[in-house]
This record gives sequence, C-alpha cells and structure tokens, in this order.
Amino acid sequence: MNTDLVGQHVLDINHLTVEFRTVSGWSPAVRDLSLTIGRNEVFGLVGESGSGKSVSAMSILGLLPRRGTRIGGGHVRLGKTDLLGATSKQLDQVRGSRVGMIFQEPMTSLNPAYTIGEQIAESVRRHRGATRRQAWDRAVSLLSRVGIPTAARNAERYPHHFSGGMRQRAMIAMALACEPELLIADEPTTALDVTVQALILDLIAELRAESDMSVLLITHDLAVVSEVADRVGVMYAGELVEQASTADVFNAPQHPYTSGLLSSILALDSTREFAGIPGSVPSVDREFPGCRFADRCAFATDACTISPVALRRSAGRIHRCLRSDELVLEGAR
Amino acid sequence: MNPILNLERVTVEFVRQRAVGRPRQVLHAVNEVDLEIAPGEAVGLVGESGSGKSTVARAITGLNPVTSGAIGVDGNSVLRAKGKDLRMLRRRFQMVFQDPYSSLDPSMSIGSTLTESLTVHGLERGPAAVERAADMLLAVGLRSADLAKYPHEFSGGQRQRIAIARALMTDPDLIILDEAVSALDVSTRAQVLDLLQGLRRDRRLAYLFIGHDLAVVQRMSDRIAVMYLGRIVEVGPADDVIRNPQHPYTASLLASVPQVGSRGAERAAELRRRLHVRADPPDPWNPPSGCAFATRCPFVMEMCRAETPPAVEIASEAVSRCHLATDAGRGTESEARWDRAREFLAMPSPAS
Repeated sequence: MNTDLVGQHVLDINHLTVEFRTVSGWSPAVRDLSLTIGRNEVFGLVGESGSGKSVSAMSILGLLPRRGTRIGGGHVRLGKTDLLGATSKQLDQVRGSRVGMIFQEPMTSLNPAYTIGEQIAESVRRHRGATRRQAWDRAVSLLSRVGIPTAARNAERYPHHFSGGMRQRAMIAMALACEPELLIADEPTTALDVTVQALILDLIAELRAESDMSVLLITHDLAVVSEVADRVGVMYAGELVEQASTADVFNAPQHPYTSGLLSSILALDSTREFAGIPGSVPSVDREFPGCRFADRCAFATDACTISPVALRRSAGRIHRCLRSDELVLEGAR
Repeated sequence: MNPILNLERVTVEFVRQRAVGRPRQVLHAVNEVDLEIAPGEAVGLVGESGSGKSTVARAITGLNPVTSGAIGVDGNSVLRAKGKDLRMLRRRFQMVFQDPYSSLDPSMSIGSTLTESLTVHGLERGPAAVERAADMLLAVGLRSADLAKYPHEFSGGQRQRIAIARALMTDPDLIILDEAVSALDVSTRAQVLDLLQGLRRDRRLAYLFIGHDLAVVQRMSDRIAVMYLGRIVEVGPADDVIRNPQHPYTASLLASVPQVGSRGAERAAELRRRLHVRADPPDPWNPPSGCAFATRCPFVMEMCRAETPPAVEIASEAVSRCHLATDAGRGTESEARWDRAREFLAMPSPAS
C-alpha cells in the first residue's frame, strides 16, 4: 500500500438519506449515512439483505430508478465532484472512467451480443479516446491481467462462452479499463465457488497493491471482508451501526448486531452451536421510537426503546449503541 | 440393515449436437458414482458448481434420467419400479431446493401446497390432510393459522421452513437438501440449520446434504463425499475429510475458505500458496484425459495425465481417487510436498 496517499478521501458520503416510496409514503432505506474512503483504502460495507448497503452504492452513482426512489438529503463527493448534484451526463462520465463497478451477477452487466473484447475496448474508447487498435490491445492486456488464459483468443468470445468465474474477471477487467480512482464491488463473489472466490479476492488485493485505487466492497460475508478490507462499516436496517478498523470490528465489536453477525459465522471444524440473530431485518417502512435493533437485541433495556440512538465516536471508532461502555461483546471466534 | 439409499455406478449423461453434421458430444454429468446412505445417516455432498452434485440429487428424485447404474431405496430399485410401486418408493424421499421463492407456487395457499403432496401420493385427504399439514407447520416452527396464507406473506427463512414442512408431509426416510440454506441470510440460516438437526434427531431422518459451505456441511453431516467433474473423488467421515483431506482437490477447497480473525489473512495466503488451484475448472464437454483434476492440481505427476486414478480405500469408509494414495505415488516429490501441505492445513487456525 502506498502509505503517503492514505488519508486523502476519495469518496466522502455525508449524511446521505435515500427514500423509497411505500404504501405509507416516503420511507428511508438509507438513513443519515456518513462514511469516507481514503486513497488506496479497501472499505468493507457489511449487512444482511435489506440493510441498505447496495442502495447506498447505487444512489451515489445515480443508478437507482427515478420512480419510487429519491435522495432525502446529504452530500456525496468523489474527490471534488459533487455526485448527487451532477447531471446525468456528468454521472455518465464518472461511471466507468473514475468509478468502476462490479456486481454479483456479471451476466446482467455484460451484453450477450458483443464479444468480451469489444465490450472492454468500447469502454476504453469511450472514456479514454483511444483508437480502435489501441483499445483492443488494452482490452486483451486487461483480460490477461485478471487471469483470463489465452486472452487474445478469449477476447473474441461471447459472454456465454465464459464460466461464472471468468465472467466476473471479465467484469473486473472492464471496470479497470480506465484506471478508476474507486472500484465499487457489490457482492462480487457471492455467486462464485470458494475456489474462484479466493482467486477474485487475491486479484482485488493485487490490483490495489499495484495502483492507487480505492475499493468499496459490499458484502454480506464477514469472512470475505476480514481478508481484504482495511476498515469495515456495518449497516442494519438502513443505518450505519458500527465502523472501525477490520481488526477492531472482528476482535472487539461495539454493537450487539455486529457481534451477532460475527457469532453466526461458522468456522471449519468448529464444535459450537449454530448461532443466529432472532427475528429478521425490519422492512423499510417500519418506524421504531428508539434503537432500530432493540427488538432483536439480547442486551436491550427500556432506555434503548425511547429515542433514536445517535452515532457515538471515540478513538477512531464509531458505533450506535447506548450500552457499549458497559457491554463486553464477543468478537469472531 | 439395508441402506436407505444406495447408488451403484450411477451415470448421467447429457448429449448435444451443435449443428447438423457436427459430432454428437457427450457430457458425463455424473460418472459411475457409488454412494450409500444408512437409515438416519446424514451424508454431505460438496464440490464446485458443475461438479454434478445437484445432478446426483435430481437423478435420485427422477428429475434427470439415469443413463446407467442402479439407484436403490431400502433395497428396491427406483429405476425399475413403475406406477403405484414407484409412487410408494417416491414418498420415502423428498427434496428441498435452494430458492424458497421459486419452489413454492405463489398462487397456492400454504395449506394447499402442503396437502397437495399427500394427494399426489394417494395418502390422506380432506380434514385429515389439513390436520397433518397443521402438525407439520408446528414442527417447523410456524403456526397452523399460516395454512391460509400465501408464500408472499413470508420471509425467505419462513418459506424455507414451509418447503421443509412440505417435504415432511409424506413421512419420508430421506430428505435431499440441495443448497437448502445457501440463499438465506446468516442470522436466519442458523435457525433453519437448528431446525434441520432437530427434525433429524426426532424423526430419524437421513439427509443428503448438498452444499458449498464446507463448515456448514461438516456440522450437518456424518460423512462427506467430495465431487469433481462428475466423480466422487473423496469420501470419508466428515471430521476426517475436513481435518485430514486425502485428495488434493478437497485440500484446495479447504484452502479457499476465507479465514476470519486477526491473523486469518496471513494464514489464508500461505494456505493458498501451497494448495490453491490455479486455473478454472476444465470444460466438462471436453474433460482432460486421466485424472480430471490434473489440469489444476498443485501436485500433478506425469501418471495423472495418463491414467484415471483408481478409488483407493484409505481407512474403513474412507476412499480417495488420487494417484498420490496409490503405491505408484509413494516416494515421489509430489507426495513429499503434498504431505507438508497437509501438515500445514491441519495446524490449528491462529485466529483468536
């Protein structure tokens, strides 16, 4: 890692609220989210389905459908560019040239009618103004960089010829085509086998090491995050409930939800009971007078259910639990 | 005692012809698989996608035709049985699929979904069927009032409970669970796994537990079978397979599992350096000659590319299909490296 660059913010999300239209009116799916990602940093954003982690990522790039969703407030900056105030033309310029994206299902992002090489070259040409020949050469070298064998030949093949792991690597090659400042990876390995997942995680770590690129890694899998992320944010029901360095989150979580997630990871050769979190993530339109996790929390007291819990900051850590000072929560085992 | 399920040299082939005049190609999705499950036993089946593990499940339940081999349920051939006899056999094994959203008919109430399987098998009807459905909902932790509801009113975890209740309706001896908890969130997954373990204990159920999460499969199974490109390459007691794998492919799978904890990343890197497979799985339509894993195996020897390794009995009930386990593999440089890698893998994780 290039340490002298760490600390400059590439992405700065400030009090972001994203609302969905529901039967009861506009309901916040992301509530007052603030986080920053430094240059060359890997930030892991974790939560179960319905926590708002993907909605956050989609909203900062203007990828949410216009009908039924809206930005309720906040600012998002990529370097000096204000993303929420950007026109769709400006956002087009940002996506693919300054921010690369990879998603869980690469097939939905690859066009079945064009070869893999054409699609990557198109992206290079569009954002870098290269000639066809240069763009094609760059596409081939990118495919080779992400571990596609016989890249020159495979560049001429169509997405359906590729296995899931190869498609995901082709997606990464496309995302890297313009040397983005930030790579947003939304569940990049969820649909893949563990062997291929290991290859992709190694690849992300290598790519980060050989450039200034920052990574926002969104996943429900804490084990994945523990291997590659520098810092971790945990989201629950639309809110950030904890944020700290990866080691701190795993060794000494400060929010009961984080602790619950950690204890539900089952390690190989473990003999302990299956542990989960009772209940399920509430729907976006459900309002709670107090802590949104209180009704599932083993440590909740009456005080937790009276008024919303604000984020608390201490020693570089952030959490949203009233009782964190008195609780000693279990970390990863 | 008869095994509740017995697969003997089961082979499932898929055939394609890409254009008129071009040669017919054959894919061995399942290649001479032998597997026995005793009454009340849980057997885990692991492997990458494309390894054929789901095709095994679909062959047992009759969703995929079997090309050759024999499938016996409690000593009776499923492949030869017809009509009423086949129905009688079929109700003794049931299947639960991965996706609880597509496996339940959205237009049918939970009550109709559950009682339908009784009707299909010519079992109880009317009020007796409804009563049984209510009992099964209770058994999976739902309420009898849920009978009147529809799938969309339930969460993913609850739907999977309903799918399990449906599987229990015919009072089966064996349930095939094909990635049954893979689509669930971590916090609900634990609840469903607990339920499955309780049901197995209370009803003496046998499970064929198909999954890709090795830690979960280990906890749910008495024995584990590892599949690669249509063949079972290793089978043995669950804890032995995880702690001391006998096939390099099993070791590669284990080395790929992300490691949690403060020093997890370092250990993971070292494990992968020693054991991790380097390439993608081969094209199943065009499998390599010899051992199918040879193209990716870190310990590959010359003989591996030439000959298919035999199934070698390592210990009682433990079998590996690898040349390293044969006399021919002994004393080779690959074997020495493989032994060192296995020692490293067996070392306790440094985490916490």
